[in-house]
Amino acid sequence: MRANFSSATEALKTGKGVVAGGVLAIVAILAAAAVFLFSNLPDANAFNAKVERLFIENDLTTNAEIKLLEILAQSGTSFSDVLASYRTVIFVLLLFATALMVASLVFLITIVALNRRISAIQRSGIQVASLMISREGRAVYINDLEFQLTEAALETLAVLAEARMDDDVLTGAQIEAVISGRDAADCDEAAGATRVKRLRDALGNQLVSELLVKTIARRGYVLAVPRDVIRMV
Amino acid sequence: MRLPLIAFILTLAGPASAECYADYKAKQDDPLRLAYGVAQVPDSACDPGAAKNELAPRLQAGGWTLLDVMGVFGPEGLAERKDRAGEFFLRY
Repeated sequence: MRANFSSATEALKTGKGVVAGGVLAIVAILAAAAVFLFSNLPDANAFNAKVERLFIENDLTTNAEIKLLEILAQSGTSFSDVLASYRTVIFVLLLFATALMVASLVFLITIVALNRRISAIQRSGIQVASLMISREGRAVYINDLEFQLTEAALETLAVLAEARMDDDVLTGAQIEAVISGRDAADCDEAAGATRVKRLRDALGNQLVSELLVKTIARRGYVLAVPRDVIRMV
Repeated sequence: MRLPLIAFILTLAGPASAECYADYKAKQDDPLRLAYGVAQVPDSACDPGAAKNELAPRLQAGGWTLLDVMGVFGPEGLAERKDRAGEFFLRY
């Protein structure tokens, strides 16, 4: 059970790392593509230079020929205006591509994380997302489901919850000691075990409570829920 | 008898060699304008290379960039180029 919790948080952490790395990689690749595109787009003078070459290398010296060459150069220049607008369009498209790739990466990572979580849920049978103990209402809210408990069962649950928050495993004697206020050495292991049994019975469903209040062989009892979901009111 | 003849030949040859012309190609930028022209160059610069050095500053002053000097010729070549050079015939 512990392994599952930690693997869930680890998956989340590695997911964040992958997202950050992936976003950086996407931005870097597309920025490189943008630079490559912009540096390779010909500018307005490229056409004029070609016409100039034609003029120098060939014997085109009559008035009509020169006029024709000039018109050629002018059409090239007007084409360069179109080229400038192409640049903007290409740049906007690159921005869109970046945004879409980043979004799809985030979605992909989310799906992977969710898949892991779902398989973890399938394995564990019950996933406690929140466990709230209300002393006043003498009730425990597990995933917003309310379970009414007796005073004694609530006490046992509270002791186990506090131990869980400290990452402790309590033996039956220790549970009895905390609740009765006596020294653990003077307490009977069976008394604590009975309290745990009553708590499980109070929660009703033996399967669910077995999953919730876990027995660790030769060590004691512990709540099988992540620490950060426990709240006491 | 011989001396006057030589002197006569020299006087004939003198003015003829003093008239050296070059035809050139030039351009203006923004927008691109091209020109073919004919210009007189001094005797001392009567070959394409020297004519280039001679003509470039003159054309620059008129706002034109010299691209190429095609060749140099005497007054006998003027007539056939007058039409093609148009407004650039002996302008610079």
